[in-house]
Amino acid sequence: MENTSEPSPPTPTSSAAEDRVLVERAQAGDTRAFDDLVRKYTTKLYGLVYNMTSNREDTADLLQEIFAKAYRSVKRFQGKSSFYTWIYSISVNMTLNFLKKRGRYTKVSLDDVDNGIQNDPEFIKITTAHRDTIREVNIHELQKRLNDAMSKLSDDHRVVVTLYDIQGHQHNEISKMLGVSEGTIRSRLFYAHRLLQTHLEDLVK
Amino acid sequence: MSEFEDIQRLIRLKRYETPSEDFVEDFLAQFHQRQRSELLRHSARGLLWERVATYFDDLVSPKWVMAGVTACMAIVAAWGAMNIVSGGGQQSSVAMIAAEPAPMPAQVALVVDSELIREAEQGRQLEIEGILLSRHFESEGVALPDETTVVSVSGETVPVSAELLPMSFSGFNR
Repeated sequence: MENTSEPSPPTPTSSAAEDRVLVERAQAGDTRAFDDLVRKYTTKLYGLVYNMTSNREDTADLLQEIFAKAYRSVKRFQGKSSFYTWIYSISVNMTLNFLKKRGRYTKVSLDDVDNGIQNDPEFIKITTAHRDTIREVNIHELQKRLNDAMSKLSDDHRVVVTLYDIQGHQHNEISKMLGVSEGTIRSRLFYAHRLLQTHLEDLVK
Repeated sequence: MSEFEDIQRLIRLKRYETPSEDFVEDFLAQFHQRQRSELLRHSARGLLWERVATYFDDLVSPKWVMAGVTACMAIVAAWGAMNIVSGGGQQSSVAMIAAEPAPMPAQVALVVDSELIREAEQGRQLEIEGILLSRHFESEGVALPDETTVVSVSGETVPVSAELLPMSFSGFNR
């Protein structure tokens, strides 16, 4: 079993208690409360869906469907899990279904330069410490390499890497979202990391 | 320290793949527009169905659904059983059974009657013959007619011939 370093948890903009209040208001018919939930979770879910689909248009369309489904189902939400886990479960399931329908076709959008990556210490470290290996590396190239490596993973492995490494969720949270055991999550992570290492070996050596 | 720490740090750079700043508000506006258009697209039947489904979702919990289904099945089963027993007639089966005595099977009744009667008659006949013989020996001077009649259990007169008597006795009488 892999002994991975725990990523820093995502910084929540508001607590689960605030979510509960918003959900109760939304269940009572307050559409503005649901709008607040959409505002809060759009960016987070965007990261999940985009890293799975690798396409911005698909991501936007899928997010619309995800929130539409959540809006229809919010009255049935009983609060057994947090809204955060619930909405992530919906997103993961809908994204995996979408990918099954789409097949192995992937269209990676590289037109947009992702904001902030130039200032990330990891990016700076990679581009300075390993100049001998990746002399000509730039944002687009690095992004392309990462996307290519991610696309080599199966959907089940990619979603675990996205939730754990990119979004910083804990094993137990991912276990609840996907409905599989923590052991399975760790096993998938180990396999995915090993595969990614073979594809990005020159960047990390 | 994990053997994959370097690769994890590298993959973590993908967290910068975020939407633009105005994406969220535009997304929300599109979401509202989509909801309105969906409402307009819905047919009257679809709306009715959705309302009914929502009503029952709110009203009925799964355990009540199960209880309701079970109750319906029990009512249907009871109704079916009543129809089968009454045979479609208007009179209650219980009343009919109480009013009419259960008929005995004809063959069984005849067999029992005939055997009983035969046994009784034969027994009676032998008893009468025994009495007559004992009387005969008690009163020697009284002549016994050749043929006498006895009354059977059924009330019929049965002739008893002296020839049927043992030879010694019949010879002695004569």
